[in-house]
Amino acid sequence: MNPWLNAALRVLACIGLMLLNGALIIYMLRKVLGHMHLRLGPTELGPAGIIQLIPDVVKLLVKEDRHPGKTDRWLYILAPFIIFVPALMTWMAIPFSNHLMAIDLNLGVLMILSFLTIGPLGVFAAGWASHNKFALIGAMRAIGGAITYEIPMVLSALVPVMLAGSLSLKDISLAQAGSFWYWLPGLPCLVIFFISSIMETNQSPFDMSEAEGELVEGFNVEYSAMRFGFMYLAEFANNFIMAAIIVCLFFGGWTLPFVNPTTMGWLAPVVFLIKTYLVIFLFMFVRGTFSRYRVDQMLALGWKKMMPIAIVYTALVAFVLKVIAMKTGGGM
Amino acid sequence: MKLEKTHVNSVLDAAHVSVKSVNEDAHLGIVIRVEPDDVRATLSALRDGELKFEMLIDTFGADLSVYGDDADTETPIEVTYHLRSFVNDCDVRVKMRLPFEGVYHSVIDIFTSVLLPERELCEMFGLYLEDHPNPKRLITNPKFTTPLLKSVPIRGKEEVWNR
Amino acid sequence: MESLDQDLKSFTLTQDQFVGYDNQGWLSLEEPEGIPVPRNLRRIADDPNKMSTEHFILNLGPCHPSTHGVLREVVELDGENIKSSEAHVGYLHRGIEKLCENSPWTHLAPYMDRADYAGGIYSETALAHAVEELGEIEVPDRAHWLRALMGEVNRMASHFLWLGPLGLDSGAMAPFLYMIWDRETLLEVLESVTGGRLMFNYVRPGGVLNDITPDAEAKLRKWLDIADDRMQEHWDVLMASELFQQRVKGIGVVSHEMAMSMGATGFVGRASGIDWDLRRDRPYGPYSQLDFNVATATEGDIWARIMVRYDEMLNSINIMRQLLDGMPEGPHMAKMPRVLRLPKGEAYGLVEGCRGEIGAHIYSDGGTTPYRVRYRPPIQYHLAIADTVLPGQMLADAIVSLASFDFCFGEVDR
Repeated sequence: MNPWLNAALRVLACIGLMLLNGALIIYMLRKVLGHMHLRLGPTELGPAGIIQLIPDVVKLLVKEDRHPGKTDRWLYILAPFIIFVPALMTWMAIPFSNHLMAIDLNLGVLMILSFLTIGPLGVFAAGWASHNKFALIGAMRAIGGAITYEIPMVLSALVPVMLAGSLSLKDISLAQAGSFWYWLPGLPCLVIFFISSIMETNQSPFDMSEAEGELVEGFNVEYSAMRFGFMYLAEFANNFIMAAIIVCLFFGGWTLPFVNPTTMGWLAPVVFLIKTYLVIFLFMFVRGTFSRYRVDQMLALGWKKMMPIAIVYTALVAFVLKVIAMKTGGGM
Repeated sequence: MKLEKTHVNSVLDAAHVSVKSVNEDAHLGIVIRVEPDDVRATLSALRDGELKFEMLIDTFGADLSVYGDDADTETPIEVTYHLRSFVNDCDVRVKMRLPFEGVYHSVIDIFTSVLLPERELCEMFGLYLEDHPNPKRLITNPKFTTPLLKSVPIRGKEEVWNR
Repeated sequence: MESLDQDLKSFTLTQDQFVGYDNQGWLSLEEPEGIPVPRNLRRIADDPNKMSTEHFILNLGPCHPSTHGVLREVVELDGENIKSSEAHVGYLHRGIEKLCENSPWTHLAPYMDRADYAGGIYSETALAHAVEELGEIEVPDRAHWLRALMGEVNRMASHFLWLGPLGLDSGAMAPFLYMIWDRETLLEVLESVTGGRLMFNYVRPGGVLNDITPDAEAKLRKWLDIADDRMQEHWDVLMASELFQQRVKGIGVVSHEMAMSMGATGFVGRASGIDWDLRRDRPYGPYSQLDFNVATATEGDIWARIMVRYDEMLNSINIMRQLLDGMPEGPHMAKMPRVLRLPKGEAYGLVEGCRGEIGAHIYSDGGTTPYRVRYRPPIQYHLAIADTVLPGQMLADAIVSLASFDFCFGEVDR
């Protein structure tokens, strides 16, 4: 097939999956949070409210796109895209099974982590361009949090990379096929990565950049209609990506403990998606339970507690692996 | 403790404060009436004296220009301070009277609780507020002048015509 | 002297127009040297030779999901820290005290309802106490007990309405909805007895409007059976959470001296060490025959206020049980004349309301309508305290500490 057509089809598949995923996560969020709050969530449209999403999307599409007069116009238009596009691009590297992925990069983890750092820049652009003090406060908080939590995230992502010996997500998943996954040897790293991913997706208890109580929607207070829709969709795409990375790095991707990964066929994406959505359910569970951190408490948690633990544990794992490698007679 | 006139008189004498009268009202308890110039001295004496009235519970005013047959039209605005002593479990009231558009001197350095009530008092009755750190209006806007004076009607003209 | 101006229309303040008051400004009235200030005002001004970031002025405006009610808090922020703050109120002024002068004595209950709209029974009770004191009206025992019972139900409903949004402001959404369930149950009880969920018009001078029906009593007893478990669940969901405790401990500290000099009664005073509860120390109605505890704390931070109020809620459940079990028989309203005339004089009726001491000071000139009604709002004093406590905290803390004082702006503005 024409390589350009091939690439275009893969991109379109990713976009389509992203939209479907957005729909599913929105429905799941509203129902899960609803039941946790002793209420029901959407129930009117369709059986158990399944069709509720369609009117919501139509509403977002036809709403008037208001913006305040003094916004920095180009930055205001560009900011949702700066948030949305890297989220889409990280979907390229996620392996749904042995052959099902957009690109089989051998630098998958590196690419994903670097693209995830562009998101907060978009958040800051949105807050700055809105010409609104509440948005500015939200944007600055987001930047502070993102910088703080990137370091523990990257360090804790290194442990499965070291254990598997490759940066490619597919290879890391395959390396976990025989054993009972990497969550046990990398338990502190799993916890740190989980917490950092809650921060990266701006969810409660780390959602001080969109704290509704204080900032009335924070950095996206001046956005409406489809611009807001983009950022909303990007948040759910980010959710999926972080959950997918956690599953690939620590829970074996599409592999099951005693099954040969290359012969799983159609079962592989199903298993992968089930695991991912279980992790997303855990995100929502945490979201509906805890209070919000104050900004300086959150930064203190990141710098003073998570970074030292991540550094020490990564160094420890590296040391142990080197010792094992030397003991078993050379090799790299 | 049941507050008697003698207790209050002894506290005021110990601080050498002269007041107009100390009465025992049937429903209110002990009421001390003072001149506006002696208010600060009286409140300080009550706060620091042996009865220890540490908290100023309420500060408010009333326009007594048509209060009964012997209404005082010279100084119709009566300002009441309601003090309480937690140690001795008793209340006392200090009342003073001011003329229309009089000057009201703040007692904020004696009791800080008059911060907001004094602003409201002066805007409701049209008094001038002195010695206050923030003498702005509290709850009305500039079109709504001195509502609690008796000269301001409760019903508007249209409402009265349509009855 | 110059007119007293309120800049209600200026929502966008530039740096020059804003004059803020830090927590030292109230008590020290000296003018800083070299800077010309208007008389009686003090300005926060940085030394222009020192390097510093620019402070910006944020308007936590009257329409905000977290300033409970219509409070406009203008804060001067240095990054996230609040340097000075000023509260503007008056968005809910309806002229209740002036309107009261126009109605007969028995028609004043709806006005008092709307003053403290979350704890209406107590506001009405304060006025009823004042009128009965001045008119020397003998109220039957059953009426006193019914007033206390409905008051305690209202107190619990109001406290749930406070604690839920306090959790919501600090980010926890689930406890709010759990507490609203309890509040709805209590409001159903109130509706069965008084006819209203929020505006009751129930307590009249001389007694109460309706007697309690067996239906309402059964509903209340059914809730009281599960009340202790529900309170334990609320504790587990909201207050046992370490994140929440980290948000509220050590923040918004009101010292004992500040509480005493600024007129803090009720739970704010009790959390700062002033051990005073009107139900125990000036007992009115049935409270002298009831057995309950009053909690105090000494730290004066938000956590202390939450603990004091939580204890108050547990005791309230206990009081409700005792009131239901010991309710005396008899009429629920005294024999009142058709047109009530009170002799000339003044009286003061006080009651331990949901938020503090509610007092009604009435002047009567012998006619059918009041001469002057003064409603002593506990929150006006707490607002000054909250405003003094804000500078020095962070913005996120400011929201939670404003929520912890339990504002209800019907009272401040009337």
